[in-house]
Amino acid sequence: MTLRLLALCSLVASSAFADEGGAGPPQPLDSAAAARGRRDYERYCVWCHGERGDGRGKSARHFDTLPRDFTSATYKCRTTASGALPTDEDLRHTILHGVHGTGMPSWVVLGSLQVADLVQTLKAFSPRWRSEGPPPPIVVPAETPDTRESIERGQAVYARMQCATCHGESGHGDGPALASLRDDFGNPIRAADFSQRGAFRCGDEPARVYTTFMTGLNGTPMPSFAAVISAGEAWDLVHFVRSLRK
Amino acid sequence: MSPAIRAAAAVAALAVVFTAGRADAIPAFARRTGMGCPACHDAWPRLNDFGELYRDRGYRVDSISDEAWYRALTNVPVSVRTSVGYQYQNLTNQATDQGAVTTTSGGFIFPAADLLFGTAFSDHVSALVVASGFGRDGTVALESAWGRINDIYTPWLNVRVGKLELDLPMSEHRTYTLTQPYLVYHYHSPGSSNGFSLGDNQLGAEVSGHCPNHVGFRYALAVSSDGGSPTASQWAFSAPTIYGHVTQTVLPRSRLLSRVRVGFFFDVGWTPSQFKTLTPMGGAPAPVAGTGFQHRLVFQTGGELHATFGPLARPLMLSVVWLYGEDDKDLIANSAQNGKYHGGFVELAYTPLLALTAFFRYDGVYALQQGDPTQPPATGDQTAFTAGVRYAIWQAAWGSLMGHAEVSTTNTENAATLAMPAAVRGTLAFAGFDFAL
Repeated sequence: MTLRLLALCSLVASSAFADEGGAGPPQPLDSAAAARGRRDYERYCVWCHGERGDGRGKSARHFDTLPRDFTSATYKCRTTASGALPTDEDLRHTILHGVHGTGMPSWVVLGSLQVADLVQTLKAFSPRWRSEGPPPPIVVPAETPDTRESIERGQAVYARMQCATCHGESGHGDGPALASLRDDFGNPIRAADFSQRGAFRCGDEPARVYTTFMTGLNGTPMPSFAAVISAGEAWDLVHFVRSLRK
Repeated sequence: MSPAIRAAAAVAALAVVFTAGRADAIPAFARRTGMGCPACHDAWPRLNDFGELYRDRGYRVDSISDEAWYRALTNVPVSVRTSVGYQYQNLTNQATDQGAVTTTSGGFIFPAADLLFGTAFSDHVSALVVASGFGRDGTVALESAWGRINDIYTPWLNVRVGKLELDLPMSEHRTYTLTQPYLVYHYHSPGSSNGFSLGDNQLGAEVSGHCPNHVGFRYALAVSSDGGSPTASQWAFSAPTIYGHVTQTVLPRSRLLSRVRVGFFFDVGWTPSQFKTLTPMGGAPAPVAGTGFQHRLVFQTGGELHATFGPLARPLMLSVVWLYGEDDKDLIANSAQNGKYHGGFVELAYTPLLALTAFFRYDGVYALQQGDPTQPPATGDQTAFTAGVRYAIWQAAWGSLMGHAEVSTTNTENAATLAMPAAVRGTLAFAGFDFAL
């Protein structure tokens, strides 16, 4: 079952990535902003993400979900295709809103200028940003009506995409593949429990959930479904998983 | 209490205030969140905006479920803070049987400590207990002990009950200074029997609220039951005091001026002016608890402005707090009119490095009208200047050790009523370690 799931994930992710057109042109790094952001990084971020941005801060080992390794430039929360780099706006959103269900809090108290500087600081940790840039964000179509019928259709999509393999039949994050789930760095990883608050790493808003389905969570087994479901089916799936919340 | 004794007591209090540890630098929170002290403090114990949000949420990082935090870090939510080092003290015009003299003393202080237990038990329940003392005399008292219900349907509604610090413009438990309290938080018109002090933790309840996930508007409204009065009245609330505080914080899109906060606060209280008395054999008449009557009004109202220049990670922070206060004449011995005063402080703190903070503060409290018109107008006026540096020799997610050096001078005007010739001046200096684990 696990092998079949991973094969599906791989197929879905690779085909979605190809469909979205891959990497964009590299963007020049604002080194002055990166230097300014380094001051904030050393005050607020270094404890978990480490001096080198490798996710090996002094407190990192305490977390179930390990802090992001910025040197790999692998980010979960994006509006870009699976496998691609995030946009600056994606990074800004993650800093401002945090990553739900993990140790990453919202840093909205820093203000917009400091957060913009921090974005550049994070990008400076990885050489990948010098050779490529993010592709254009995906287009999120207008949400379809959140009706009982949509939820029922979403449940069918949930079954067809074998979401229950990881997330469980009832969406409690207790699927049969749970024990074997690993992120790209080999660390054990949990599947989201849709019944809980903060289940969606990148935000509970419908558009954020839609984006997660269509871009995947880089570095995790959660693939992009952009190549295998339509926009309407994605919205149905959004409505279904959101309906599982207590 | 006579003006003379009150003035002398104030000076004496200044001399020993720092020997007690200060609360509210809580490494248990750092251990729980995994973040080091600088994440929540400009330099501990002063909170930055992230630390204030953590406090306002009831010791929770996010308004979303903190389940991840509970699971991620196992720790005992207990912290200890103490200060050790050398103290120098010089006081002029100290009363002796041989007349007024200048006293000078110095030596290594006998340390005291705060033992802090603070945590969020769940998304909606938090608590803090601070036991303070453990000094030379061995006494221990609960400086704080409160429970809090968080986010009652909304972050705009939280309820705290117990012995608690008021939501002051600048927390006295989180000030950088170790030798000098905020004078205005403890001032009363000379001769006043009003026992309520803003700087004292109060027994009561507080309702507060804040913007859900960011800086902005916040409020706190508290009622305390005894107003600091040592002798209760015949009311259900012995000497009730209502305290309110609102602030608005903005983060301008400017690299020069990165944060501005303005606020307004007030307290209004009713305290008994008369008591039944009991005169022991050979003693003086003393008030009997529970017999107070003829409640009279005391109030204070003021404003604040805080401006942070430069990056929030390396802040230069200017704070100005000023208030006007009035004590009813019936609370003041030998008075013919209400006692009126104003005062506050101006503080500048700069953190050019993550580990280094320098600070300077001016405190001043001045009488506008003496309750006793025969008193010289400036009787009891107080000014103080404090300067110092703190350097984090070591800090991590489980504690910190600060090197601390500080000097302060205090002047209390017209202590002539003490039968002394002039103002009482005090100089205090401290150098040592301030640490929390």
